[in-house]
Amino acid sequence: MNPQISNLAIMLVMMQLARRIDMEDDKNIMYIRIAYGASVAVAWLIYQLIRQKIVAKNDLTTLKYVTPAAPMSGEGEKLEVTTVRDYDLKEVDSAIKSIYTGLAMMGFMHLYMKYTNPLFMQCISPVKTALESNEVKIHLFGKPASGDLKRPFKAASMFGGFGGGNAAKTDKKSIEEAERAGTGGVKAE
Amino acid sequence: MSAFLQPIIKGMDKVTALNAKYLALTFEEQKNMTFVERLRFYNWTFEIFALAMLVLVFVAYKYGVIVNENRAKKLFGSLNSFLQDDLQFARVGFSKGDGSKVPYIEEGQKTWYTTFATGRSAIASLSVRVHMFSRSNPVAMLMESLVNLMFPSSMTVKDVSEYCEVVIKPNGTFVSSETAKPNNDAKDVVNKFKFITSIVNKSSMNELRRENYYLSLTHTSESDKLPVEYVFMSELNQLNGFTLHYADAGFNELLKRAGNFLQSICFTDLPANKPLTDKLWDATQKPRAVIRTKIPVSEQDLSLLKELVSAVVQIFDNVTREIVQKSPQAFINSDILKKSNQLRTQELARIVKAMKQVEREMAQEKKQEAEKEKRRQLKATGEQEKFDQKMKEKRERRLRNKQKVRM
Repeated sequence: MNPQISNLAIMLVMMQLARRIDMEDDKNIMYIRIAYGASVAVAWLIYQLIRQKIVAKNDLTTLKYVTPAAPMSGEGEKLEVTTVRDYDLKEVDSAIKSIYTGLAMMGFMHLYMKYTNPLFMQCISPVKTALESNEVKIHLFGKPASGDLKRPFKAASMFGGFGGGNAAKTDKKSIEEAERAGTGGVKAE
Repeated sequence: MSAFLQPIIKGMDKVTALNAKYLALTFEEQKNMTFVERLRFYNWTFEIFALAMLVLVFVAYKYGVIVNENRAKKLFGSLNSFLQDDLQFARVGFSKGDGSKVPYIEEGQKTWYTTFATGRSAIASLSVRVHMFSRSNPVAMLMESLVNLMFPSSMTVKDVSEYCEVVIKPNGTFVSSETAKPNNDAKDVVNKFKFITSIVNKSSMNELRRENYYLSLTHTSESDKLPVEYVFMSELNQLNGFTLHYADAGFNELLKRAGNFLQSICFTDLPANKPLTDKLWDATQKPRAVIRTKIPVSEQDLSLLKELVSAVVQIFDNVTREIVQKSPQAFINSDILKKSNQLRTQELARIVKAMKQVEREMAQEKKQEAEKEKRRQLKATGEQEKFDQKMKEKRERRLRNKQKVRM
């Protein structure tokens, strides 16, 4: 099932459940905190496990692709030359970073603004996101890195198949062009 | 906004409250106490805390300076004697005006270190540049790494990484012994070093390509001839074999041992910073080899660095000897030079084109600015209305003329 749709379904169910729980009760708050903390911890541990697996595998096959121009920053297309190992580590690290930002967000919402509802809503999604991520599919479930799991991964788009315009280019011609473009060493003023 | 300032205000109130007892004293009461009594009565907690912070900052500063300095001393101490004794450079380090010797120079609050050697067959100069973290300022270091974590593209690698860079420039002169006569065509020999070929560690391919203009003109290719940790980056695939051809048999094994230390070995003549004008292009072309490594910390790193430097010096020795002696199987043949020359002409054309474009845009901007200024002046003197009136009459006249023709 499409992860976006299942996220939506979970959110609706959780919203219904949240209405039935007394969010003022200290005991309930404690349970919700524990559930959220456990969920984040499990997600974090999954990513760390994957990280260790990637480092142990040490796949040094080179990977070349051209990232599309970022529309807001004014930067042009960029060639990325990396290895499978570094690419995987980058993906996992950005996932871990997003866990931290989520944690900071929730910390602000719950501890400072005193909302418990969002904490309850976020009890499942960290683990779900972790298990659905491409790196976990490849390294934990042992799926072959081809098809949808071929590196570089396609960015999941909000509108299904219509967001294909900003995918990374891997064809020989664009890589060749970007390789000889002479875009390095430009010093910002 | 006040919600965010609340904790600060609360904290400040707490600090003031530490001395509530003292502040509550009236002037008379204070006057009646002796100096020592007043000192005793005052609560010094905050002051002690502040002093402790100052001491902490000072200790961190001292520690950082000592660590950086020790590393530099160790590195340059052993490297300089290696350059002088083993590689036989005539001059190593710097000398001051009064004749005293300085083994290395430090800049930027002990974050940049440099040494220099010259006076040798085949090599014009060798310089070593080392960048270290500013360990003496841990707060700035922390901020830098935080900014880098949040906005990775806003910082250049130079600010956030430690590295050691050895630049070796050839001089095209080959002498086999101390009494041998040097060749006269040194300039022509140096001119043959016009190509880009490099061996780059896979862990730093991307940063080095971003940072160095010359590497961003090359193809990246894997090869069985290299250890798995490295790739070739050369402007022509023919050039990939250059380094291995001139290095000795143990070079591959050395690369393998240096897998976690060496970042790249590049032979290039183009600059690291992209030249933006044709004048800069001409001025910045310097044939050289660049060895880039991590900071050597252990004895093992140091010996690896020495081996790498001596391998590159040896490559220059071999190439220069071959060219000077006009050996028929020289690796750098006219075909390669022709192709690399072609690439340089193309690049130069590209730069000139971009430069012209910028110039055109600037001229246009200036013209518009001048026109605006002119109109402003006309307006100020009241001439604008007259001018407008004239133009209006002209338009009307034209319109009338047109109508006449139609009729």
